[in-house]
Amino acid sequence: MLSIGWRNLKRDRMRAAIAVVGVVFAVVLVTLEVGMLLGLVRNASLLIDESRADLWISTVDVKTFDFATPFERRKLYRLQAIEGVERVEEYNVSYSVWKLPGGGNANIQVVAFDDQGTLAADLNLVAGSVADLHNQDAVIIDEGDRAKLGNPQLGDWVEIMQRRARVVGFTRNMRSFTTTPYVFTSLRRGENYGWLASGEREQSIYFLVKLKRGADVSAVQAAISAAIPDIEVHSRESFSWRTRRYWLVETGMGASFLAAALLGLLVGGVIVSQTLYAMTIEKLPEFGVLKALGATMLEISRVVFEQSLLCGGAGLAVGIAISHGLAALAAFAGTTIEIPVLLIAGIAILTAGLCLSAAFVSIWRLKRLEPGMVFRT
Amino acid sequence: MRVPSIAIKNVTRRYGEESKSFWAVRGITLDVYPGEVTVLMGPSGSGKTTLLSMLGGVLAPTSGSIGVCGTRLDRCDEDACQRFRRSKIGFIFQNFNLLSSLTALENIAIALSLRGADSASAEAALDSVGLASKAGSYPHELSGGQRQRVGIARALAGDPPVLLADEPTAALDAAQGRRVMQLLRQRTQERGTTVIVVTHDPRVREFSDRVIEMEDGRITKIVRRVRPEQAGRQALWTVSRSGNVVAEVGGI
Repeated sequence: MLSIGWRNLKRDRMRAAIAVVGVVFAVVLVTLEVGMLLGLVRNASLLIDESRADLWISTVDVKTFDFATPFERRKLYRLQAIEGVERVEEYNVSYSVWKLPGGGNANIQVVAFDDQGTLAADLNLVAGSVADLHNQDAVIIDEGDRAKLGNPQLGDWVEIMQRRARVVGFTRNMRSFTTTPYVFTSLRRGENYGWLASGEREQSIYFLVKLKRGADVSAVQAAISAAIPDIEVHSRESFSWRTRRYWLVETGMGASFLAAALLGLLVGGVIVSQTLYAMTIEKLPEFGVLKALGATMLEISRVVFEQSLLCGGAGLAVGIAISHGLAALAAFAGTTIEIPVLLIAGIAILTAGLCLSAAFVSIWRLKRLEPGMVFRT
Repeated sequence: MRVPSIAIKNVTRRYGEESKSFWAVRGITLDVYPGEVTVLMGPSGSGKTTLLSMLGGVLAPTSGSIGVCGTRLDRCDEDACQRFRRSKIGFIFQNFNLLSSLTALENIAIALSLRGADSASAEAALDSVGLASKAGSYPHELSGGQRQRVGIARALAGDPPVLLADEPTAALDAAQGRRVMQLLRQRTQERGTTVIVVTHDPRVREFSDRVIEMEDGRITKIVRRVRPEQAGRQALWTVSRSGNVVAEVGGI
């Protein structure tokens, strides 16, 4: 049968445009909400995922990467003696205060790692190098956090916890989930800049563990747990998931993002559904003619589905393009919005579902349409 | 013995619920033969369109039997009626009812495609009603007469054995109406199609074999026309009394 749906849309461009706008609205809202959530979740466990450690050691019941508590550093030596362990590095994360040029303060998260080590995450530097952290008072910040920290330039002197520090490099997209800027520094400087500085010098937050080639991860995990009391041993993946789950589930943030995305979907769905329904009602006599000519419900449904899916396809393409544009703008403003191919595929399926559901409202009306109406119009 | 293409026996049709119902058609019995043009006339509300709808399989009778081209419409379910309409019936409507988003040619092609016929013959169908040059025109770009001719080409596409026309000349001026009826008459004679025309237009009588007058859901008069080829040089009107026919008129 001829493509009546496409021809109907061509003929009624205004309504078609409204339906497409409805889909665009839903697609953009869902893409941005989910993309923002993905971006946040990525940031939440970024330093874990990008690390080269097989195991992360923390105190018991740490809920997330950002809120760990300290334990005795001397446990590191016992750890190094366990069979299967190749290398152990200290990794400290603690909150601190950055003095702003105007006199105010900004909260920061000091991430101190072994600048000669190999297990911490790559910093994705766009200026400076990790070797620069070896210099006196050196710190590295993310270029996206510069505005929050008073726009320091490379080489500028700043003040952290009443101690001087010098910006020696900038990272890109190495930002925290909590939006508190990360300040990367060496283990030694970290003792000065973080709260560990306040008389807790023999404390650590995490140990990163690299296992020997061929070592059984579970067996080493069990051995560490048995040998060292009051610590928890996580695989990189399980600690990453625990961190993500905390922010997504325990804070309720995931649900609120998804609720907003669903709301967008619902509003878009109503717009598409109403527009398609209006198009169908306007063409009711013509659908009646098709029925009178002997078209089956399947053939008639095809017309409506075709209209619906064409609007959906156009809306999806425009919506994804707009979302990419907005994501680029957001990145410029310092917000990470991730739009992976898998998300686009999911949204395409969702859009198809949305359009088909909207089409069903019209089809339900057409099913009740009596072909005899053609003699009354 | 001639076999009727349409056999209606004591058919009734009631609208509405018990207490507020009314009878649109009250016990009509009628046979119509292939190659005949039968005109249904009568005042509004006399039951013409209801009868036409039942013959087209778009409305079920309340009682009685309707057989069209071997299909019992009083017994067929929705799917069977849909298949019947697709293969046996061509409809012509007062308001043309062309699909507004399709061109003249596509309007015919869609009917052909529904009938499972080769839609390439749409061009020939359009040519047969003298509108080959308007193939790419949309309905709103055509005059009323042209739209009705497209409607006729659509109804005739795929050669259905029965053609049902509801006020085909009502929206047309006299010349266009005459042209449309000539076209119908010509196609009927060429293909032996059974044509039923519902109309208020007295000029349509001229193109008919039989005029059936209805009132209050009943047939009140049947006038049969004997054509020149059947009765010498002059057309004659003959009259018969049968069933619920209540009057006869003399020939011309």
